[in-house]
Amino acid sequence: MIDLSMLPQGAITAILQVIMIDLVLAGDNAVVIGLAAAGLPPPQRSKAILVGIIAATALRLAFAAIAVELLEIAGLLLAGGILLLWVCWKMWRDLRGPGPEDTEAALTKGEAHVPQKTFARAAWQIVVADVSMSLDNVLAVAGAARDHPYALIFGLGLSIVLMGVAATFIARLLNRHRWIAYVGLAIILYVSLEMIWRGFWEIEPHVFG
Amino acid sequence: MYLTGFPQPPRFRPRPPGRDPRSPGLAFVAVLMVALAIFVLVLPHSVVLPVFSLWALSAAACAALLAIFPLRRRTSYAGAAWDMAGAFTLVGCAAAILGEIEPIIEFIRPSGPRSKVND
Repeated sequence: MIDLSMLPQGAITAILQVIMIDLVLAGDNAVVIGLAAAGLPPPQRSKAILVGIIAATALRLAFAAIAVELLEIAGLLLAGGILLLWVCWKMWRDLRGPGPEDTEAALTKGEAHVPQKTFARAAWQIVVADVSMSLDNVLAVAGAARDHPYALIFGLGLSIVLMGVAATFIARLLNRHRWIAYVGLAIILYVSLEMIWRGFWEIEPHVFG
Repeated sequence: MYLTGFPQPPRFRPRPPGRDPRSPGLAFVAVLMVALAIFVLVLPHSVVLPVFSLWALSAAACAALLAIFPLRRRTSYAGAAWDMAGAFTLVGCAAAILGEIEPIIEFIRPSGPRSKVND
C-alpha cells in the first residue's frame, strides 16, 4: 500500500490540483473529438478519435515546453478563439448536410454530388480545434504544477485517458441521436466565444491604450 | 401444445406500466435535476459546477460499466446504458466548461490564505 505521508504535502496538493484541472479542461477536447468523429463509420470513428488524442497530446507537450514564451504573445487567445469559431462553422455545415444513411441512399440512386463526411475532414477539424484548446489548457496545468513535473506528466496521462473514453461515449451517443450534436456544437461555440472575449480584453490595452 | 423443456416461440406480452420508451430520458433528466438541486443546497456556489461535472462523469462511468457487464444476462439494455453514458459525459463536460477552475483549486489547497476571486 502506498504511504502518502512519504510524499511532500505540496506534491499531493499539486497532483490533486492537476487531476481536477485535467478533468475540467479535457472536457472541451472530448466534445470536439466526439462531435467530429460522430458522422463516420465505426472503424474510421475509432481512428479519428485516436488521431484527435495523439494530436492533442503532441500539442500539449509542445505548448507546455514553450508555455512561458506563449504567455508573452498578445492576441494568441483571440486567434485561437477565431480558429475554433471557424471549426464550429464547418461542423454546423456538416450537421446541416445529409446524414450517413441519406448519403448512402443517394449514392445507390446514382446521385454523384453528395457531400459526405470523410475521415480526412473529421481529422482536420479535430486537429485545428485541438490547436486552439490545448493552448488554453496547457497554460492552466503548467501554472498549477510548475514545481512538480511528475504531476504534469500524471495530468497529461489522465487527460489522454479521459479524452479517449469521453470522446468515444459522446461519438456513440451522437451517432444514435443526431440532434444532440447541436447541443455539443453549442458547447463548442460557447468555448470559442469565451476565448474571443478573453482574448479581446487581453489585447485591448495594446490596441486602444 | 408445447412440450416442457423445449424452447418455446415468443408470446405477445403487453408492455408493463412504467416501461414507456420515454422513461429512460425522463429518468435521466430527473436524476440530473435532483443531483443538481442537492449540490446547490449543500455545496458553496463556486464549486457546484465542478462537483456536478465530476458526479456526471462518474455516473457515465457507472452507466458504461452496466453496458459492458449487464446485471441480468437475458435483458438487453446495453443500448440504453451506452446512451446514458454518452449523455452523462456530455453533461459532465458542459458543466466542466461552464464552471470555473480557480474555486476548486482553492478548495483543495490545504493551507495559506484563500483568495477572494470568486467569493
